[in-house]
Amino acid sequence: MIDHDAVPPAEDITRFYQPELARVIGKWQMTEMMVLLRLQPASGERLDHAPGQFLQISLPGYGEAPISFCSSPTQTDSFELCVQSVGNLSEALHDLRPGDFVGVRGPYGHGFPVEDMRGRDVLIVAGGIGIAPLRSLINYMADRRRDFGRVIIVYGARNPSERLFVEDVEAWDARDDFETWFTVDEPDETWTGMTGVVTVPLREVEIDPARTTAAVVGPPVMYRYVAMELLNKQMAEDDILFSLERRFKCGMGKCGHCQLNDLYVCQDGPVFRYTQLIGRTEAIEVWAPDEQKG
Amino acid sequence: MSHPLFQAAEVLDMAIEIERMGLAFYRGCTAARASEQAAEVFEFAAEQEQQHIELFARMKRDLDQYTVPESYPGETLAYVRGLIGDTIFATVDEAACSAEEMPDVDSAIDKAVRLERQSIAFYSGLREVVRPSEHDAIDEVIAEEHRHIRRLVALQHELGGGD
Repeated sequence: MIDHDAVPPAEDITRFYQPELARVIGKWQMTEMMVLLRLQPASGERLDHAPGQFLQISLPGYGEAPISFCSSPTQTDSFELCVQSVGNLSEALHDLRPGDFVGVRGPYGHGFPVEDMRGRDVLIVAGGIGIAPLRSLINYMADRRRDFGRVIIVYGARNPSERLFVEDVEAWDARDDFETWFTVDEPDETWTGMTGVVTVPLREVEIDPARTTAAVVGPPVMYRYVAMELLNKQMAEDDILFSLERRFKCGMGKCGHCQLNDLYVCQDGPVFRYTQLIGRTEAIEVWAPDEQKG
Repeated sequence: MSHPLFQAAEVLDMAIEIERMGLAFYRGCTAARASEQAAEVFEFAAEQEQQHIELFARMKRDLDQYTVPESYPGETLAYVRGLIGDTIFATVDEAACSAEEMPDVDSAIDKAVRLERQSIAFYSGLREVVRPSEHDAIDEVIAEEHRHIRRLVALQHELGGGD
């Protein structure tokens, strides 16, 4: 639920929208469409984000957009964002160079409840660019490894050339204390791993449902198929975490773009327990509500 | 499972995909058999699958439908194939190849009956994650598969096979 007391009084609203400057200190082209930006707040202050949270990034003359953190909060001197080229702003972000400045405000939203996940096995299910916010969580767990039980990573991409964070993926795969399953929907001649959507390897994964929390981020089509596999494994609905990041916009619950019945995804989410979404008729990517029409 | 995950219309899409696999299997059986009698049996079975495809498509028109946006064309179908592949066949090509491996007509019909039964188990499982107001559509799909099994078994007996 929204904490309406947290909304600032009218005279403070402009301050709430005020971005801070952040400097680009690194840039990597990950795929044709995806760029990784490493940024540092000009103030030198830490953002102290949680895995799964997002911020608003802006460029004067181009606009502002919400993007999830893809770096771990344990990386304290800078933070990273994965930017997909989808419009004017993101194309301008792709053109940035080290030394350039952007506006940032945030972090916003409720991320993964890492305190509740402490001591439990964590099953990561990432589809496509959903790996970006989950990378923040995975690397957080890597840095706090003793705080968690088994870490199981299931990551599916459309094809080998669209796999993100390949170096991280290889590093996770090389660890003895991570269990990794990688697949692509459309293999090419270079691919020697599993083939199929993310639910194909997920079906093979054995878990102890009583001590497992699943963190799921991916394209809208993926969620119900993943939910079915997880429920087939006897997981409790409350232990399934979905991030609905595609829905957020202003980050403050003002624009209404992300409204999901009585929830604001940008404030109450983007990470939700499955139980929070059942009954919300607009959460069509997560369940099949009776009232939803055409 | 207590909460609905899929609409009946989506299950019908899955059923149509399964029937396409069945069609490929029976056509593969026809191609792999030299005898006229066997060809007639599998052509009949293929015709049944084709009729099911048309019936399920008609049933779908009368049901609520919404579309979850795809991140690339064919994404939903990829997930459907991921779901049914473990139960039936992963691809049409796999169905056709399986047909070629059948040693005789009797074995092919046995395999076909097993597949139909697996399909029924698959639909019965999905019925649990479809809202109750749409259970009739799933029940009709299951009833159609039962009818198909009865016809296949009858044909098998006519050919002097079966248990």
